[in-house]
Amino acid sequence: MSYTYLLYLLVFLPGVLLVYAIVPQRFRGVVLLLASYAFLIQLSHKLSFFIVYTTISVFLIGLWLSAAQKRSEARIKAGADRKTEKKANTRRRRAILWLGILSQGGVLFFLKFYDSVAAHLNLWTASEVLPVKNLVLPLGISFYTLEAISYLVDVYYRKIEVERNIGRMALFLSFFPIIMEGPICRYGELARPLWEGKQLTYRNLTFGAQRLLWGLFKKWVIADRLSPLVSTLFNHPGGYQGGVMALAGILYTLQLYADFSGCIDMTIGTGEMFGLTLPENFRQPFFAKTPSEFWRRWHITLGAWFKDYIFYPLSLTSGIKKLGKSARKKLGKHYGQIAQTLIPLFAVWLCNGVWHGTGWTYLFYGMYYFVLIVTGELIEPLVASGTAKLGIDRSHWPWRILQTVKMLAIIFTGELFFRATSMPNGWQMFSSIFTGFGKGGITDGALLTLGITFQDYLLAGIALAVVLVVGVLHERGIHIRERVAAWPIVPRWCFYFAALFAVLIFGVYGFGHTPADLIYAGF
Amino acid sequence: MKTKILKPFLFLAILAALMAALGPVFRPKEAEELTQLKGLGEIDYLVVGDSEGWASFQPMEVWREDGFTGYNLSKPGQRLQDFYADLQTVLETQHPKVLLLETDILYKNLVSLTEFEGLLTSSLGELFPFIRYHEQWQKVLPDLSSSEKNEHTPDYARGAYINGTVMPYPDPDYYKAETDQVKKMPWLYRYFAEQIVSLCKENNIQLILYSSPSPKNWTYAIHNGLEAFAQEYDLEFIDFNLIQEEIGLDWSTDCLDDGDHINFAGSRKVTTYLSEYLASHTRLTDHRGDPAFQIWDTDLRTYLTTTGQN
Repeated sequence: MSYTYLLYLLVFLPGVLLVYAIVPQRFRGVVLLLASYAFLIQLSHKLSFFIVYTTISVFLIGLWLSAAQKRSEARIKAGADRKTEKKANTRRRRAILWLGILSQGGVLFFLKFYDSVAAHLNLWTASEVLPVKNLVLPLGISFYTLEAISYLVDVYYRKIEVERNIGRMALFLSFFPIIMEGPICRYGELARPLWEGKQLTYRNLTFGAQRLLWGLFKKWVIADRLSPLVSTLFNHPGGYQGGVMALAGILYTLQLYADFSGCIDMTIGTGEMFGLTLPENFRQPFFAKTPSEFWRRWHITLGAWFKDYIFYPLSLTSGIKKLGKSARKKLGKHYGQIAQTLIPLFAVWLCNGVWHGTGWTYLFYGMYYFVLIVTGELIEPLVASGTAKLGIDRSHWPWRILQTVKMLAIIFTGELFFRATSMPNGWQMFSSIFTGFGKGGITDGALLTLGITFQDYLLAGIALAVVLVVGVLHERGIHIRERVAAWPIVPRWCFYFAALFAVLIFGVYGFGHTPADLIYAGF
Repeated sequence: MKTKILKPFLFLAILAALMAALGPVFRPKEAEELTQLKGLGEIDYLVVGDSEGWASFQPMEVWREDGFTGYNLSKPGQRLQDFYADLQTVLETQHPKVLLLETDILYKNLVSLTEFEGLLTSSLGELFPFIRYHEQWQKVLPDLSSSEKNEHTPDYARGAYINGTVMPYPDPDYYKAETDQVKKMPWLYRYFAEQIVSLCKENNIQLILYSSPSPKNWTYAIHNGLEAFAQEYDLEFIDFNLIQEEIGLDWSTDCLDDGDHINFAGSRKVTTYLSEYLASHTRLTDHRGDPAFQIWDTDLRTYLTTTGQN
């Protein structure tokens, strides 16, 4: 049972809301914790042990970090040399922090990479150096591990108070709406309001339900409708002409966006029902004009996590600072700054690729954006002077449209490789766009035999147009739910019924359909 | 405050009313007849089950041997409640005289949440037919998919699974461990099985239960449970696990996947027995030579060629 199961939508979630509403406030956190573990166990079975391990170990290491700090302060109070003690304390606490990071990241790394490393080793050495164990990733481990590490780092830097209630920690890591695909939350922002058990309100319930419905629309009407077509195309990388392969990249990107952002809408909507404000994960990503901007709009919480816990800490190390200083002297301010960020940026994009999985396609995906972002920074002075000489106004719409189109091509290409079943297959699909481009497949009706019908295309197109319009409105700061809520009851309810029936009529669900998996839950 | 409490109920009531009203609108016009059965003429019998039914019965063998027309509606992972809904639809236009129910579908694990999801979907579909038929919106638009797609071509195997793979099962004596224990049929499947029994009685359909040979899924306790059910409702029950020697089943050549399903060779043995059974225990008539059933002869040739029997 996942978020798009009728069982979840009509039984589990309403049931949890009902119990949450009727128990005294002090037990609401416990209700959510029990519900979260029930949800987790039915999906992950024995592998739920891993989240228990993470919860207990992170809780204890957090306490250890805090105790080390207190002991150090006590020693200073008792007369120890402040400078020496501070240095020793930093060393001790850093060692504890690293123990914590390795104890969490190590498990994730092992589970994600062991089989791949074993398979490669065995292949290269033509013998069984390591047995392949076919390890299965516990549900949500990629997400809650990052949350656990961010908690430890924040405790280390004393940005947040250490947690002394293991229930609160357990709920933060396992909260059922976020366990499958995030968003990746921060302890300081979510743990307390979550455990506090806020009062359900009419507004929160209705607004949350509307957001959840919007997510369901994206998932059922767009993502699941395009899914058979995308699978067919990517399973036959050499089977179609370049035009169809280009379309494969575009369609997968749209499917992924509808799937992932739809799930996040459902998650945020569910959070809203419980009175929680969960972080946004998408902000009209296809309106981005540069790769950096794209990543500030797409999977925002992952990008922010890498920025806060990899990019900044690395940038602030003495080695990188020194490198930057000498680079600025030799290369000037602009290129010197780029040189200083090269290593942290490389680490960020390497981690981004690796976080998604063990395939070379994911590594390529990370490096693809690293190269694009660095190249963009490198040529920026040239572009600026070139456009100035040509009298091109970069704030004018033709330039901005050109940038958006360029960025869309970049996004679609990246996702083509990301989804490809292997690097050679990805390359075959990509190269066929240039070497075998033709309208064949698009104009001869072959597209109508690839798993979805003409009606499916038409419906997906209309639904995507609706998503685009909503995106434009959001981009302009127009909040549709608030606007609609201010309408008189008759038009307002008509709007709600229309939205509900759009999902109920055009969604891929129910009889004859097995609920499709959430794409990012697989990472 | 009162309004705030009443509003959600009013909203839900209107929603339910709208969903109920949309039922007849979305119910497919030609109904009613399952698409698989289009163009096949009068159907004498239907077979239903999960993958065990799918892999164990070849309607084309029955046509060849006795000239009865039938279709294997079984699907891997099929749920009884979904089949029950299908059967109701079929009976609006077809009048099969016999229903062969493969019994593996009656002993599924009910604890699984997927089963509950299926039950919820089926129940909602029963309550609001609109939910069940919501995909009918597609019919409003022209289907430009392809000319061949518009022209309905029935499956020459009549729904059955044809796979000649051999993966022998090492313990052919599995069925000899006799016991008096009776495994109770899970309540949900018993409920729908009873619904099917009633539906068959109402429509004068002879219901025959059969268990395909399957060491992985069969136990003597299940056999006893099925026999008790058959006796209770006065149904015929053929358990091929117990008569496998009689039909000449050989687990070294007739097994598809290590004791889970039988392969094509095994399914022919089961079908031959059932075909004879239908000829001797039912009132079906031989349609061979009737021009109205010409498509059956055409498809038989394809079937025989494809299965290497020509």
